Amino acid sequence: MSAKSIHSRRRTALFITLILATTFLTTFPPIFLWANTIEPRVLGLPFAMIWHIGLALVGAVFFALWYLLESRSGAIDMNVDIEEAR
Amino acid sequence: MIPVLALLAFLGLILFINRRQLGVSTMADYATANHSIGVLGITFGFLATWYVGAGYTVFSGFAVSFGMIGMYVVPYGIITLLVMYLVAEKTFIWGKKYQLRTQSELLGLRYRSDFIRVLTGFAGVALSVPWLLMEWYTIGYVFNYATDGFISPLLGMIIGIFVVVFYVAMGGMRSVVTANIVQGLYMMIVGSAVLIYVLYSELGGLTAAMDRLFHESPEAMIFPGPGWDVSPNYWTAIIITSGLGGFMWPWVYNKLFAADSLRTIKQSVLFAPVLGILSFALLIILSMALHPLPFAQENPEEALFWAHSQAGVWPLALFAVLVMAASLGTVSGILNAMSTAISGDIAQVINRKISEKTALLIARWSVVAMSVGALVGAYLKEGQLVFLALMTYQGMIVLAPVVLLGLYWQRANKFGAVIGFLTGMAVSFGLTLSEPQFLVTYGWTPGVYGFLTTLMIMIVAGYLRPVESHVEKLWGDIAHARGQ
Repeated sequence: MSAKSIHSRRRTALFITLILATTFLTTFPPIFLWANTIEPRVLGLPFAMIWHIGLALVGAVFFALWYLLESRSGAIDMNVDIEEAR
Repeated sequence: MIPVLALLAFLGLILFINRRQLGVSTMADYATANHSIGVLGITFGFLATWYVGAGYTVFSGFAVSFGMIGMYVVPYGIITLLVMYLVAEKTFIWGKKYQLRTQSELLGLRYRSDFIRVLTGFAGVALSVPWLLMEWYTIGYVFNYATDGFISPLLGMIIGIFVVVFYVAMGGMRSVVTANIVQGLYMMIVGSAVLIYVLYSELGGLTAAMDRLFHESPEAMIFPGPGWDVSPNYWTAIIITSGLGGFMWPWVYNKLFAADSLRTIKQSVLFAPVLGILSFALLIILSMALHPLPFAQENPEEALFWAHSQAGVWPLALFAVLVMAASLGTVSGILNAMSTAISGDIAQVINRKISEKTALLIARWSVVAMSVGALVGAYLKEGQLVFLALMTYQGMIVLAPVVLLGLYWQRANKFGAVIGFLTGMAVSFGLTLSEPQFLVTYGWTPGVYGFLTTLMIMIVAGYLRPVESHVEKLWGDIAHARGQ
């Protein structure tokens, strides 16, 4: 396996872990129940709601970073030959 | 009068912008727009298909009744997008190399099995039917409410069917995505603006609405909401079930085959979560804010329509178009995917002599037949549609291991996939129908048990047999495309 391939795999594993971590924080019952409170409120919204929206936005930032790193490394642009007969 | 004119104008706009897309002449163009759709089309195609019209009636009613739990859609959306990001590369490479048109065709290629192709194609069609029925009903309901009963639900459904069938049957994926861009832009810009307007004009703004909720019904601001005692595992289960199942719908997944490049798909994942999170959070916040109002509590599914009608005729008209846009986006995607599956994954597999021209004809007539059938079903079975639609998620999640292991694990084989899929479906629907006590006690939904069953069977089957020979070639295609 080439160094480029290993680097690509590590990057994929890192971002999957980071994005799943945000999901874990919103779904794992002990943590989710800890955040399931009304106070402190922000603009009137309960903390529980801010927790979920905030973590989803953090997840969106991770997607953006993942894309940027993949794009910079040239991992996204690829040529695919069409197989005429199958 | 203004609401009905707005609805008709919107339908007219959809037909007008599609006027150049109606001459599709090949099955590949009908199913995938010849892999030509850019980032705007994939992003809004994904959002408009994913956002159902019932989100503004049934799902908002859920948030009106129980408050914050409706927010489960936000974290589940992140899981769905992660799945989309992960399946994008292999789906795009194999899709383009082998000119694939549907998710079932992809699975048939990966597992080298026509049986899996037909099985998953049939399951995709069958599980989509309740959503099609529910969205038809929503279109009829929109016309009926917006005209204060002047247009009956049946007539409203017929008007909607006429427009959608015409542009889907004639223009295929190209028309569907073109309409999705207009529908998605309307939902994100005009739709969000009208929801904010009603929040301020009828409820005094965000802070005032939340203060009222805090003083009158604070339990609606946290899980599980007023009058509901459910295990916290239920929250985890609905997010995982919906998140993994959300991208398995053929009408969502098939959009990947229409993309012009892998970059397009991955860029759309950047835009979709932010747009989706903000617009859906807005919908849930407004629905929650309506919770203290007596009319909303008594009629939760009608609450958003009622609030907009209180704000005036223009807010009602713009909101009616918003719901119509969401419904049309979903219905057109479902019809395109189902007709492609019937023609390509079922008819052309059963009889390989069917020509491309005949296949296109079958797809077009499938659109007409399904629409008329769904019209009858929606009219007769209205009361059971929500139950049926939500139940289908318990089946769709079972497909997730078949897709994800198929794309990421070379040892996954057709025996594990077939036995796992069928057993997982049996477990999931068996538990859904029998409702044993442990479901309530532990809080996990039936789909989680079905998913775990399929996953375990596929892993065991994977280690019982050597890697199938064709799989190495498929993995070689990926390495070649990556330049490794």
